[in-house]
Amino acid sequence: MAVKLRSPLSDEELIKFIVEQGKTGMYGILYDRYADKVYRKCLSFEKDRDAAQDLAHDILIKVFVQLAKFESRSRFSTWLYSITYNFCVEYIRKKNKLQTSPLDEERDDFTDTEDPSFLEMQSDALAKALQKVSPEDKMILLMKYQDDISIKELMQTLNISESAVKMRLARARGRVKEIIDDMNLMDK
Amino acid sequence: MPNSNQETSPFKAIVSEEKLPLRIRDEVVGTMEIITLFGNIVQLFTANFGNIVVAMLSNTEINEEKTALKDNSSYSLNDNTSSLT
Repeated sequence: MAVKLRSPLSDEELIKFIVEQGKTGMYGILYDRYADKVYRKCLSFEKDRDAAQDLAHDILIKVFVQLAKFESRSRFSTWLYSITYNFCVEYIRKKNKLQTSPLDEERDDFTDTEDPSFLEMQSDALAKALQKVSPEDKMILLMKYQDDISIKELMQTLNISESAVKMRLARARGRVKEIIDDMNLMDK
Repeated sequence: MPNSNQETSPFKAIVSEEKLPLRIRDEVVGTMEIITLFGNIVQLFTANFGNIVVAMLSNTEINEEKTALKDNSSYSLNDNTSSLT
């Protein structure tokens, strides 16, 4: 709230000032609004604080350099988070020397049957399960359920169709559920 | 550390409450200033590229003219000398 009082300008207005009028100092306001959020997202992929801080640093520089490419098709926060997640996914892939996952087979007839019990799980179980799923699965789940990014925005951000978004979400939810079920079985 | 707020979604309950250290802000601002400065230099160079090329070309022409003048003057001097002798 303190930031809002200092600068009533919206994110998009600030970007206009920075890009069109070269007022680069105003990036500091955007930084103050989002740096901690970016860092927390990095921490959800990389537990080591120093490494997560380095990641956040690199992402915040990358966002500044690419600011002129922001087209206001989505909210600035959505654009920023997608850069953050993609950067983190790429980092984890390189770190673990993982292969890129094959693209989901798109099906136009895919209907999403979201199980409402999915959001009733224990948070500590979810945190453990998220450590075991692929970075791509984690990314789409966090975007949808932590950042409240709509299906439409996910379509634009990930550049895939609505059915592909729903399919990826369903698969990611399924994997998390499987892991939690396995953990519950092991506890019994 | 996950936050202790009573959130309805477990996804929101697992969000850490950690803050990015202030030194990162200084580093980002420092890098940003270097990028901006470099961008301004490139922009300045690009905007004046035509003038720079023209200046370089005309400088070359001036040098060529100077050389030609020098050559001509030495020839004429030689010519004069030869005619005198």
